[in-house]
Amino acid sequence: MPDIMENSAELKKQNQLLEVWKSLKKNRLAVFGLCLTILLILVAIFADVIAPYDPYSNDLANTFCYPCRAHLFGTDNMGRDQFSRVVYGARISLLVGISTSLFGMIGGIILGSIAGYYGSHTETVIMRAMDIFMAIPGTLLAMSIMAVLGQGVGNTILALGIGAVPRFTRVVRSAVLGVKGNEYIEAAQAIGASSFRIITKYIVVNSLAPIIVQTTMNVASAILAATSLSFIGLGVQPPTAEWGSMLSAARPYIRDYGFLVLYPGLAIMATIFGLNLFGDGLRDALDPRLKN
Amino acid sequence: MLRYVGKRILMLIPVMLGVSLIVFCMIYFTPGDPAEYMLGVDATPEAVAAMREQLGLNGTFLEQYIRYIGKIITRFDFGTSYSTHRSVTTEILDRFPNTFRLALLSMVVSAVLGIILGIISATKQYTIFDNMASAFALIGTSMPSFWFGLMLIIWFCLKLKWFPPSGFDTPAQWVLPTICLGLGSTATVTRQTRSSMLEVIRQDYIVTARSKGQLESVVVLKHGLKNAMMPIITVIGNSFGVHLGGAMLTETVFSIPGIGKMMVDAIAIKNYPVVQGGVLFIALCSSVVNLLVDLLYAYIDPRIKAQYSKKKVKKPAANQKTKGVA
Repeated sequence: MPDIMENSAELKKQNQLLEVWKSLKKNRLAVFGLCLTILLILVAIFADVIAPYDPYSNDLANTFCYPCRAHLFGTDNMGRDQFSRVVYGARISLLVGISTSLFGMIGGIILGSIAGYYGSHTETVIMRAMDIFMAIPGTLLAMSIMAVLGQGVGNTILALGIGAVPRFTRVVRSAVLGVKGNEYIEAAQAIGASSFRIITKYIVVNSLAPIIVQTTMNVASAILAATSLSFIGLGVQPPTAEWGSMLSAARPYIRDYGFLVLYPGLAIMATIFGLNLFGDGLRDALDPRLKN
Repeated sequence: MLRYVGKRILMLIPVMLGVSLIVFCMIYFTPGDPAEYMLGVDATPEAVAAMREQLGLNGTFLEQYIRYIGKIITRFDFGTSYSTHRSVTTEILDRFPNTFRLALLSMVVSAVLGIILGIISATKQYTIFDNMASAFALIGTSMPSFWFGLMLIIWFCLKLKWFPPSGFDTPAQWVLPTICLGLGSTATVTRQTRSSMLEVIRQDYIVTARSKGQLESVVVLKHGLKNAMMPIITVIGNSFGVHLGGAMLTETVFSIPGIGKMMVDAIAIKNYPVVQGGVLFIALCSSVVNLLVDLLYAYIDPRIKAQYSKKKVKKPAANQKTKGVA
């Protein structure tokens, strides 16, 4: 008997995934977004294979080379190949985007599920604290944290992650409130399951749809915020091949070498575009009620 | 209604205290001594001690925090800038007009353009117009504003020489920053207008308006847009609040002396009083704008207004009833 139950549960899970995939597949824009995102991930993974040059090796004989066959995106003031730098930049952006979102997601799940499940004073304290963080615009909060922590990839992730927690907490809390009233929660309480077990095994698992959507969307906004931070000199520092810091380094030369700012910017745009399209599609597929 | 407004204003106080505590904590636990930083490495210990006293850096965490908040509440004094030695309040107020002008201009542009594009998109759903407007909105939300700003400078300042690349004094200098900052919000407003108009257009009262022979423009604007306006106002209000807090990137790219540029510069040289004061001011701005947006709802939506004045309406009714019985 338990075997059959387990099998049917497994089957149901597969069916749900299949349903989501079917619905996602119908949305051509979302599929295009997914393809762009997968392409970005592949570029990041195989950066060493794709990049024709070392992104950090200077070639002072070939500075400010216009885009040509040897250097597809041209070379910068140090003669570094821009194409290789853009390709390697995908690694940093993806690393920051995904890690920040995971940080925000974990923080949000912990705080949001505690607030939603326990309610009353616990909820008031947590949610008011989140309101305070939300009163400071995201980029500014990240900038202030960076000013204290100092620059670098790790600190960028931490600063943006802290800024992402309040939004995740709100999403998780409202999802938990929706799930909490269900009979299976009451049943779990009746058989004496601990609060920890109820939250982790029943509540979080059943509130996953909006959390997944928020995480996907957050990867895009985190990448954008990280490149912004690097652009104003607070995030990832040169000479690291990162799109924002590449733009910042190319700024003094835009009068004569406009191509230097073109490609890193296009890379950021394509990444955000793909992730947004995919995120929108995923939201529609996972929860038709949120369609608008 | 007044009670609601009062309650909302009172609720701002704990939020602002919370923000001040966060900012104060961040700076308090930062390694390094601001007094030494201000005086340089050659300063004598006595001079450093005197400077610490002057900056209010002596005493426990709580004492320092209370002193800091006390100064703000009693004298609106956010401290003195390390770099210019001027009061932070003056620094903020000097730059605020530029930021306000930029935020207002880009809000007007994005509201007008976004609503027009959104309406076209919704009324001509699945046509070439809709696809073009949607594509514009998607690209607009994906484009980093600082990159778009650089592109505008390359084309319109350096190549075509139509506009100056920096500053914010003459109307010619307002054009590019407004476009740069407005693009993202125009895209968001377009998307929001499209989706809420699509929802409204399918309602029965639109069919009724059409069937009684109303002009299509009246149907769309008066019956449609008016009912779809609430979420659109939220989006416009939110982006105005964020921009008012300093469009850090746009102001940096176009070298506009506004709040955003001030914050970027202050953070770069660890000018903590300006950072603290700026964050508090920006948080206050965005909270006040959010509050105004909420009040605007109540003003334009009779349903919400009725909700707040419910008690007032109910009471006389109850009185009449008792009178009648008596």
